[in-house]
Amino acid sequence: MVAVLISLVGLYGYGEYNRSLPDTHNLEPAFRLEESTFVNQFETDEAKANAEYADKTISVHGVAHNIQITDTTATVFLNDGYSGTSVICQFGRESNEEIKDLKKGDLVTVKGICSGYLMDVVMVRCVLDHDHLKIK
Amino acid sequence: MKPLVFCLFVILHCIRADAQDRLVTRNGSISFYSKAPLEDIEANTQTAVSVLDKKTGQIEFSVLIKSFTFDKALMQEHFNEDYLESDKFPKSTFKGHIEELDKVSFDRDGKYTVSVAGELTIHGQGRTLTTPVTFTILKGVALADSQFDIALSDFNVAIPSLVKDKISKTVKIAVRLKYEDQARP
Repeated sequence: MVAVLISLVGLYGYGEYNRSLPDTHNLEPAFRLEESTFVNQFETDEAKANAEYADKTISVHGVAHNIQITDTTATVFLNDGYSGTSVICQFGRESNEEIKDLKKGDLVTVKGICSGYLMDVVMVRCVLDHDHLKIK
Repeated sequence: MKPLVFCLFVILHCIRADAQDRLVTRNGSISFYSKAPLEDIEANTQTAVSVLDKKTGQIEFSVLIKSFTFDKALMQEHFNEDYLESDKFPKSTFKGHIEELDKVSFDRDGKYTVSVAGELTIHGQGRTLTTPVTFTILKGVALADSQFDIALSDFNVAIPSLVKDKISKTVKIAVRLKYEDQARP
């Protein structure tokens, strides 16, 4: 009985130690926001916005103002074109394929984990929300 | 009226000249790596912000601790909650300058390795850092690469006694910043 219990605890510990970060595709957003609303909240009160959004899964809708793709990552800058502040969305290498057809000016919905605010609002582990719209 | 127009022209010219001297990146790459008997620790982010003034050699960067991504969820949780305390100290910053600015020509393609000195702040603790940085200039784009080691104890990062001998006390940090002209639309 004790041996079984120790084995179960060991298995749980091993599983917990090797637990991967969840795939953002499978995460339900805590908030769905327009890019300008999201940015405004950080510009108005960074501490309050951090308390509300940091570490949370956020779905942000906005214009892909700039797209930069490298061998290891891709970054999409959501910006309505009227503000110096963007929402910076960092995609992983595994997501490069799904944004390869994205073009500057496309209207998209990006889901990611909010890290906070520097010159822009930062989101990591981003994916495209599957119900995103595109305007050619 | 004329003096007012002249003053406005001078101010706008100065602002524009100032902006042209500054190079900016908003998606700089910072990674760290630590090899140890218990576990290798590796994480990275591509969301660092940096501003470099070509004229004065002043260089600054800032990164959100929560933006570092690990392969293992538990490692990322420990990093944020126990080691770096990212709710309390959300950002890491560097403020410094290029020591031999005359050795770098930002307007001519080439590779220039110079020393950069300044203050690195992690976990709320500032420490002096001097490190070589290689600037690669190609067609107006400046790429800055640097690698350096830091000691966790210098930044008051406590390692639990249970794993003290199994986790490396130093961490290798690699920085890669691809700058663009701030004046560029």
